[in-house]
Amino acid sequence: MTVALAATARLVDDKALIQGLGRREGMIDVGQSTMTRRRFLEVAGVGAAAVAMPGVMAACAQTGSTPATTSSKLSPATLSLFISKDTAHPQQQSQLMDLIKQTFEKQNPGSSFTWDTYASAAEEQTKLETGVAAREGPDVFEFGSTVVPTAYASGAFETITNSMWDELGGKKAFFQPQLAMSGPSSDKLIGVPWSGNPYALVINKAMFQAAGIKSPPKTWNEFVDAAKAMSNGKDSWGTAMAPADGFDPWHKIWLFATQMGAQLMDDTGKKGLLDSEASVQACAFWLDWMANFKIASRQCATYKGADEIKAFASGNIGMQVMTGPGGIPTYDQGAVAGKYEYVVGPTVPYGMSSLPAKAKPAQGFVSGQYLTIFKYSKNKELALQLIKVMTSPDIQYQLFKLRAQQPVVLETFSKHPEAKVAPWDALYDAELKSYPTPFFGSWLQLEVVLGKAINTIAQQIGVTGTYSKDALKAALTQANQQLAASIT
Amino acid sequence: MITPERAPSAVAVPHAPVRARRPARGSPLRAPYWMMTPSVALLALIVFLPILIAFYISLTGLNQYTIGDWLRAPFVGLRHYMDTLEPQGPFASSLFNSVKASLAFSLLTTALIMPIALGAALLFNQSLPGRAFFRAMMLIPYIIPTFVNAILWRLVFMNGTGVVDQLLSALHLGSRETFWLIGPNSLWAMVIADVWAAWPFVYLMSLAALQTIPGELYDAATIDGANGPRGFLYVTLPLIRSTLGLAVVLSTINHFNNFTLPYVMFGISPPEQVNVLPLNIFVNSFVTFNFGLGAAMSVVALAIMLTPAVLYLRAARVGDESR
Amino acid sequence: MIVAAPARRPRTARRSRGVAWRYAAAMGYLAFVLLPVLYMVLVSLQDSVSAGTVLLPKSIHWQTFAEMWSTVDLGVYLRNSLLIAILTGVCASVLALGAAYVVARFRFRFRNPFRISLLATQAVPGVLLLLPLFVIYVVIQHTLAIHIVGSYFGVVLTYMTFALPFAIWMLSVYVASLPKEIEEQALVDGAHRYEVLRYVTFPLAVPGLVVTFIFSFLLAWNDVLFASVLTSPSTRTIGVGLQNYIADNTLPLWNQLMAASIISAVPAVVLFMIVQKWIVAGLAAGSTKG
Repeated sequence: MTVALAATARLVDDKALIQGLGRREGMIDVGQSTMTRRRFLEVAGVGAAAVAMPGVMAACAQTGSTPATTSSKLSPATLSLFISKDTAHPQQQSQLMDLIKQTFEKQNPGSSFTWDTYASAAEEQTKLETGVAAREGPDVFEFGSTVVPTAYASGAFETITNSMWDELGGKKAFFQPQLAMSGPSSDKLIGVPWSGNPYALVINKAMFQAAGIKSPPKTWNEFVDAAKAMSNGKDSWGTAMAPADGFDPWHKIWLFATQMGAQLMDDTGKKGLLDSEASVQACAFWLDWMANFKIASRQCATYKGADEIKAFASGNIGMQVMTGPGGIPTYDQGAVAGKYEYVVGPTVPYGMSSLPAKAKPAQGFVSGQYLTIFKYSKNKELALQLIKVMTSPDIQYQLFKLRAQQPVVLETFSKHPEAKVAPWDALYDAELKSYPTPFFGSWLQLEVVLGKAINTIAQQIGVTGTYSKDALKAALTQANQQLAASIT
Repeated sequence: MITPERAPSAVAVPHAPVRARRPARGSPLRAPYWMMTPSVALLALIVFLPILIAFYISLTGLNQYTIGDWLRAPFVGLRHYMDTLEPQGPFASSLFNSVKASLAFSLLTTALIMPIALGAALLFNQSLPGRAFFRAMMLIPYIIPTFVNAILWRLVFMNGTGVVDQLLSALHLGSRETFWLIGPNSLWAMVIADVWAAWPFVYLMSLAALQTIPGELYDAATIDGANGPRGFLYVTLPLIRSTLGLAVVLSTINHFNNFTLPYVMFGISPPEQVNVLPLNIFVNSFVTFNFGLGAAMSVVALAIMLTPAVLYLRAARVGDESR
Repeated sequence: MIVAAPARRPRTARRSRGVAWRYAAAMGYLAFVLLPVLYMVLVSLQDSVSAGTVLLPKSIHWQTFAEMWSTVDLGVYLRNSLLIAILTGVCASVLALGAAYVVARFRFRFRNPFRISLLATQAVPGVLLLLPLFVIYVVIQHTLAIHIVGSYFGVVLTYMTFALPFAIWMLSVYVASLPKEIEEQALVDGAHRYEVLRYVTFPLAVPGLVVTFIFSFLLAWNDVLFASVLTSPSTRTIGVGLQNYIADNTLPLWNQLMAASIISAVPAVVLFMIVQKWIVAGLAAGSTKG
């Protein structure tokens, strides 16, 4: 690369060469000569680009291959950490990071870290992509569970070896379901669980009472019945949904499909099954909430996740399905404050009386945040030390106390029983009934194409009030084709 | 640009600079190319080189599996172009839709912006008490970050709770539950949002162009009885034509390329009417990691957008080289 | 002859009627611009749960304007944005004037390809450039041992370059419309090309420069895509920073977002009011040419 750049500089600066060229092509008059120089600059520009390109590539390949230093003594350094922003608890997040910093600096004299945040999945992924492509980025990346497979596919993150796990207190120290999204198999784990995001059903107790419903639904038939009882078709609805969200649709469809014993993607991760009968059924069930059962307002057709949370907080929605703890601060400020409860949600598919064969009584998919070590970090061992601090039971407890996040280190719960007090008890139970999504890099593509297909139909429902199964099937088939084209 | 040939014959234009000879050619004045070297160098490094790399990427299967070592991403030739351009390709309908959406969006916004912006420029070019204040206020929509603008209009157009629906129902003009963010209305929601946010750009350009017209031209025109609309048509318009042309082209291109607004207003699964090309490209490259496909789509977008650029240049060149 | 504004000398009665009409039109434009801003103000005064779902706040929630500073490092982002945007505006305008001058005043064989390529760059989706550009910067960083990613220098360099094509175009059209006789006279009198540019062309081009300054300023001010990967927490810009009021899966703080963007628009508006004066100044200078 040095050569390429130097060459560029030389090309542009070399007046003799420029004049030489000028002389060759145009000695007619001054105007011509300058014209040629101008042209030369252009040629030089393009040439520089052409010269630089292989240079860039070669340099790229080189910058990445810094071997991991495995000296036993860690030299002090300043790490960088890239984590998700906690908008609901901004000051508490800073407080927590300060606590982590204090502990880390005490345990590793001379070392420290800086931290940066991302607010959206898009920012998270963009940073991952640019960082990996350039082989330059934060030492420690925090990813959501469904991004971990993509991060793994890129091959740019360190495998946490058994000895490294031992350093962190052993795999057994962690909430077991979480480890399912740490890597494709137990010897290829790249993510260390850092916080959990369990999904459960949230109900509006006041509305349940008003409708005379005694207990939360156990089957989806009961769910639909209860929801119907709470809907008046105007300003009170049994449930809400967010089909316009980029990610929400696949959450729900995955849940229904899993409870039916179906898969959205085959075991090789190379073939999508979005056009299967079960997938169509799962999608239809969800969309029917608006179109047929009329238990969710048609207004939901434009909802994104946040709109759904706000709607439930307004106190006019009976149940919110597959909801994480992220909504709690909102509910506590809204009309629903004091009237809501997290409960274990229905598991028996609509139209069935018991779970079918191969079906899983899922409450949600394994969700939460994971810490990974960037392969091109120069301080991998120190990075592990930082992760060690962050996953210590004390910090995990602070994570719960300050930021209302679910801890993932088991000792936290035994040391601090309050981490399992309502609503966290239901969430804890729900977490135990979470199942991993397929650990394939292609899952991300499935999320997007499925979301688009659902969204198309949901819009039809929003505008016309109804949809056809054929249109749904066609949308899912096209989604599956796009998925196939992106995988191969 | 002011040449005798281009001055309208209906009105005499006094003081218009008359060029005795063509510039540069045969002139003893050497062109100071050093003045453009920094610009050219920067553009080469920061714009053209990345474009070349992106073009290379469009020929590879760069995705989440190969991004860690992207130089070794498999070379797939024109496959991504086939996928998007062949009628049977899996992304053909998606691309076609996006091109349609982008064209509709950029042309509509530009068509709406031009009169609004030109009107404001003409208005605030005249003497008016508090003119500096007005001029600065006009720029407010432009200062509001696009991200905020998108959220603002999403709230305004939200069905049920948005201002538009509340207003419509209060005035009994429509249902409170009219959908603006999905279906065909979504295009209008986005157009309105973008017109409001972006019109100051053309306004500024027009205002600056109006500054180049010497005041005495108007005096002369007034004496000739050509004030008001005729003055505008015969004096003002011809003189700012090239700037306006540039404004039309740039506005069309900028709107065609607007990514943040549709992305924030509609997210990654937008209604097809607003699934504009940049959004489609972003989703394909950065959300689903299909960088090769995204790059190929970008190259197609680039090819499309060169059309107005070249058309403009042809028109502009006529003016430049009038003899 | 020096005129402060395009001078007209119609009869007084007609003139005052004209002013009234103009005033009405100006108020119309003001309403067009400010009504959505008014809505922003209303949202900013609502509490975070009801924000954006009602028109008028139930009770005025002034706290928003205090809370917003702690949710996001607003002060730091604002300072960074102002710094980056002003630097971008100045550097881009000055560099572009040089190039624009050459394009406007001289004919060379690759003039049109150059101009086409400038327009072409406008047509490139920014999304396309992000990944390659980041890689290029990292490579340069490693080879030259300079700090680009995360520094002010890196973002300013990027925005400045992105602003160049428009600025060059705008200024070349502008410069072409300025009379060249004075310049030629100065050159014949033995002035250096630089002096001509500095003392003759530059003052005349000020209104055009103001436009390119504002354009480049706002390009830097508004960008989200590049800033999100090219800045660090200490150099983060307002565009990216504001996104932090809305994070996935939690309550979107629409009220704070609107409050923060109103507050952050204030310095920019003040700046533009100052810069506006130079449009008039340029006009006056331009009029002396007659």
